[in-house]
Amino acid sequence: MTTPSRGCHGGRARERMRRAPSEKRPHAAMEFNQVRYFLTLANTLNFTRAAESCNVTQPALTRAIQKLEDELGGLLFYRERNLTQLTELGQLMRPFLEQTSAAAQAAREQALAFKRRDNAPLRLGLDHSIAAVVLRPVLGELAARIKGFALSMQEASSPEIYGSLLEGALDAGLAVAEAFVPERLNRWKLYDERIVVLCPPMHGFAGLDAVPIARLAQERILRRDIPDWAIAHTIEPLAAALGIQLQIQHSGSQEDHLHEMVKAGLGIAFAGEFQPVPAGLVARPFVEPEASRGVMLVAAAGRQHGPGVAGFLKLMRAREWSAEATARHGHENDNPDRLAVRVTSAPN
Amino acid sequence: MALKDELEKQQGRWPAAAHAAYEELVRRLGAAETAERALKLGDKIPDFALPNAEGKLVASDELLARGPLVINFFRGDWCPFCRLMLQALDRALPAITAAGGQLVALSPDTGGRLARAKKRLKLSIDLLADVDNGVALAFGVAFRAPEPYRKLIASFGTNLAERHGNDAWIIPIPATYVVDREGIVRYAFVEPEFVRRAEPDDIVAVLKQLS
Repeated sequence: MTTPSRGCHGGRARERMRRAPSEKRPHAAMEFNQVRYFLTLANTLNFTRAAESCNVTQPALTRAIQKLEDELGGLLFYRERNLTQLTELGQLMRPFLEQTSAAAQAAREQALAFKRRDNAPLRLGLDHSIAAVVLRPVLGELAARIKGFALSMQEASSPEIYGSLLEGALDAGLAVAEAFVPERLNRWKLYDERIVVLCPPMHGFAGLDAVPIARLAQERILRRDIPDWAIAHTIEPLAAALGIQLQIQHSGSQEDHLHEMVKAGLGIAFAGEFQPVPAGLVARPFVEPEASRGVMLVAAAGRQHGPGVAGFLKLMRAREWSAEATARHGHENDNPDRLAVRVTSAPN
Repeated sequence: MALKDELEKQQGRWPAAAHAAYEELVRRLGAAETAERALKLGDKIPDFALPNAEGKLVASDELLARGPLVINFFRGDWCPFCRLMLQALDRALPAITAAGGQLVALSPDTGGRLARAKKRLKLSIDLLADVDNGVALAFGVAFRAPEPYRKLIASFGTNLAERHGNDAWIIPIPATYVVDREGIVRYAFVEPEFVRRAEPDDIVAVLKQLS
């Protein structure tokens, strides 16, 4: 979930008066216009300019802000003679109100987009190790409903995805490595995915339900030769904790190259459990300990998204991402023998 | 039992702390002003499209092309009053359909919670994920839960931040609208006293008038 960016705190208590409850009757709920005026004023920090920008009179804008302050139970702006500044409450509420206001506009634009052919782009980045198959139902729905939907998908490392989102080169991403997500990005944890090992059917691992990490010591590991290979970030610390040195003899940048290497007996490879298992290979999860990572949806905060992007984010955030549901996503038509083996059901 | 009786019975089960927080909430929301700020009789509703519990995008204008629409805003299935309301609406669904109406119920809950609620409560009604409360805001029924009420909800073990995917603690005032084919509001029940909900019989009666 998003964390609102907090500006300076410090002792600004002097202007922090609250209107007595009896003075002003609080309003029931927020109005879209109140929120819009607040956001404009938060950007301009000038009542006159904000009113002009919103095409209303200054008294009307001032009244709307006061009503919002009543609803939220505190001042949103310090009004000093030539200076208007956000209070702590104003800074706290700003990202929340941006989000809700954007959602209101997006819901409306979505409805329009179904009828029009306007270009509705979605530039999506996926970490190298994330199975695109989990997106199938969402992408299918967007294509079916939005005539102008124009998707471009790219594979990149999670840090590259964050950079591209911040620059505006991507609209949304699926990433791993929670620890390094920049604050200006919204992130929503979708699911946990186990790492599995891919081996030929005659390999000793195929006879196990799950492979103890310690067994990797005797194996030749096929390395995926890409920057910031996320799977390595999960596996390497687990191996190191057991005092295991991973033997890496061969490498390849493309997954299907690695699959051929496994089939040819060059070693074993790693994959995410929701990636379809190639015909002729077997997938097994790890134990002692289990190896898994969180997969997140990421998007830039505070940006107004078009219907393709907004639709994607809403569909992704609304859906069920338990392990069982995620494993089923898009797999209805696939050969069930080709799915990675799940030893136990993960609790919800 | 009428919905009203079920709701009062549920409220009777509350501990004292819950009553206190509830009073504070209602005072803050200023019940008398509620209907003024939200969409009311005669207003035209804004178009919207949201994902439903089955992962499909549902558009209000497409529904309205088929007939009048009942739009219900609820907080989530963490709220026992919402659960009672949803079940009452579900029981009324055949009558709603027979009167030519359709029904959607909107909540800010995400992450598959609406699909799970539908399964647990055995509902047939269409639940829509109002992600980030955008449509609730457009209808004028979105508000930020005041501090005592946030504490109360958290004490039930309900984590709204996790359920919503944002830290805003914004929830809808429970509301039910009946909208005609032109998108005009013909019935509005907007009530910050969340223990009170629209009676399904009243909703069906309005729909019959519109047909």
